[in-house]
Amino acid sequence: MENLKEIMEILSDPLFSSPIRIGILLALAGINKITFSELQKFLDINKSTLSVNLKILENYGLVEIKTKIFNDRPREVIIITKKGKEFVEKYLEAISKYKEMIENQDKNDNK
Amino acid sequence: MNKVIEDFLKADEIARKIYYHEFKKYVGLIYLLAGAYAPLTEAVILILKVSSLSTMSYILTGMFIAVLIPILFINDRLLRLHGIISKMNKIIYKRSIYDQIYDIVMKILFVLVILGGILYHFCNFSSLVAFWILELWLLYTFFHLKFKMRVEDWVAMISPIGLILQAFTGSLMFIFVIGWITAGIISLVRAYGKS
Repeated sequence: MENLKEIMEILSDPLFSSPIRIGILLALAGINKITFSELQKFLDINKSTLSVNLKILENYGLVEIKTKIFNDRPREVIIITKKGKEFVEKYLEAISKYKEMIENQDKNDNK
Repeated sequence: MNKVIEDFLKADEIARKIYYHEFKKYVGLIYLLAGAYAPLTEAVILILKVSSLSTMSYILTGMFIAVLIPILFINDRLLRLHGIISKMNKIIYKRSIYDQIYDIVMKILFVLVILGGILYHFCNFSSLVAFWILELWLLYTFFHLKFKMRVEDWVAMISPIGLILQAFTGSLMFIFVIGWITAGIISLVRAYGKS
């Protein structure tokens, strides 16, 4: 990923317009799965906002939402997919290069 | 600030909230397992002495392995957190000279403790060396993941002084035991609670 066009293409993806979605993906890349109720509790956001964001991630094929039974009660578990992990890698690489470019630009402007 | 970077910083904050809870679960379990090891071993030794069985060393080795395996399993998950958070940290933070010095000091300490463990392999200290390695690794983890150490973490970091003092009076080992078990319980309560 060397050129600016490719970096900007990744970063301008509508998926990355919401910090909530990026945050959830970044977290899942490290922990693989989490229940809906845990996610809601940790992030302290309402159910519908979380559902909408998770649905978008699911539609992109980045997460899977499965219903599992814990102690006789159904719970929604959000699991990151292989595509989701690759997406996070690409995003982190793109953001790192982007930040580098901005810093270099600032240095050049200051000269 | 640039919108892309601003969104990333917000996302980083969200991800860290989730990571912190997971991290407290892992660390809490490690504190509990390691803290419970010594009293359990003492109890088994007492029982075996009373029943005068000759298989004590096998049973104790078995117990050590039984504690070590879940710790290694939890550690594997901790390493996964390390991988992704390190990448996030590289984007946000610039490594200062203090970070580099800390890194070097920790690596030297790791080597010294491992060497010490090899030297004392056939003595009773070998299992204590494992605790020191664990202690160093947790300190290193807190520093690298940039997670704030809470009161219970400080208690856990200080209480291994009991491992040194037990050379004078065996019962002082319980400073470590009580410290780590308490830290484990508080960490798990925090992980499953709201804060």
